[in-house]
Amino acid sequence: MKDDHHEAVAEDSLKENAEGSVDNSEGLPSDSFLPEGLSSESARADFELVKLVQQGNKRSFDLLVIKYQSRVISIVGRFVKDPAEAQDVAQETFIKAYRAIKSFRGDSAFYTWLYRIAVNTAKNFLAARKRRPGSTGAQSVDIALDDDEQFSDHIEALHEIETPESRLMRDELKQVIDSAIASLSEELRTAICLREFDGLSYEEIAEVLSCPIGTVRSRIFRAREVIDEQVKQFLD
Amino acid sequence: MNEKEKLKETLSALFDNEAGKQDQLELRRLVRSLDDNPELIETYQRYMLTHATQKGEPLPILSQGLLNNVRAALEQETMEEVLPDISVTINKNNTSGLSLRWLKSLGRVAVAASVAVMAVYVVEHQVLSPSASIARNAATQMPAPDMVSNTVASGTAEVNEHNNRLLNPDVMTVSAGDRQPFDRPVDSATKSSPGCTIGALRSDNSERVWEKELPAGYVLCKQKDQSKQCESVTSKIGCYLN
Repeated sequence: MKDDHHEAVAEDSLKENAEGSVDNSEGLPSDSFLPEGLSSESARADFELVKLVQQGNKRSFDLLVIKYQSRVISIVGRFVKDPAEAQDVAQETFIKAYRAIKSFRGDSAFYTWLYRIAVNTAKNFLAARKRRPGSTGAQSVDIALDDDEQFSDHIEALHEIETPESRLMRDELKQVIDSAIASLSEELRTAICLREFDGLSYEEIAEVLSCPIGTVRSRIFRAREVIDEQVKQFLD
Repeated sequence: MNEKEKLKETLSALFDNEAGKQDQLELRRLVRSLDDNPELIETYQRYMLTHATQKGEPLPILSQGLLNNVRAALEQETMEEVLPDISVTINKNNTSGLSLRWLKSLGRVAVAASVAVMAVYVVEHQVLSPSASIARNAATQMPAPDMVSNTVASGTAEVNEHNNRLLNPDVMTVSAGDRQPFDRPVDSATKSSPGCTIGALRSDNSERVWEKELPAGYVLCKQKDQSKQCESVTSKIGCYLN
């Protein structure tokens, strides 16, 4: 199913190039597309934020930017290799999304919608650059616009290869987190582990622990406070 | 639990996609508080980092640079809506985190400043006689509603010449003293109009690439593409003959 807002944004982002058109059909996800780690609950929560944006609350959009900036940059980075340009295209993606957000009705996940905008914005960026006078072969490192196989690999962009530095940081951070979790009381540790490691919802955790959802929520928050304090110190 | 802790608990619930399930208004309260509690965004980012670390997922970006740039661009758009007849160009990196009210004031100053800068640019890059005119055949003329220009020659911001005709540089005759907008996408303009070569104007309005020369008597003017609400990655610019 293709709904109107998808088409509107897709067409709009394609129209922006006054010359030359880019096929919109290839490599784009279906409406049910959700990358690993994003659940339907995540889509519901996103839509709550979107509704606040639609009501004029710009700061709500900040949370969506923070939540998805890494993914968008990764997607764009598959097309645009230069990090600064990828950052610009990612920025343009969010700006377009904000402008078009009133037309978003929640028929599909916000991330699916954002993904489409990111891909089209990146493709249009490449198309525009190829038309630029004096452009060199630098863009040859980018994905060819008509390469279906490469487009289908987008999801791999979400799994960037780690550098030794980031791996080291991850290892050290994991130690800090594990240590913080170990220091928690049993009830807090159980709650946060059921949430973070087992991915249970608050309702499910409440059933497991035979306590109210509000208690679960409070325990998870208090556990996070302890862990976050240690993470913050580590980052500082 | 004090108010800030309540907000952070809501933030924690939001991270788990559980906010607003029991209290419809809590999400609204959280979002409204973000201006006064910017550290909540950082906390949310650390939640993401912690989660990614535990799950072995790619580590998220902790920088708020992109967020600040998006904010600045959107606030600038709001400002341009407030000041619809003046095209303002402000470097995005210098505006992040500034309040809209401050930006509005700055915007009026920036108009004058940008005009002055552009005037210097044109003077420095004059390569032909100021009296030079370009002969071209007239053909396509289109109305350019709501076109906005900052005209350099007079050193003042000149706004909104409604009913300006769109100039096709290949076919239209322009005489000195005329002021006709030239409206083409940046790339094709460079290719097809040798008298008016120009550089890329980035969509964030930071004029980072003014790389070409103008003939004497021409000035560059950014035009807001009303029909597409400035959606383009490459913006359009105007070329005026004084």
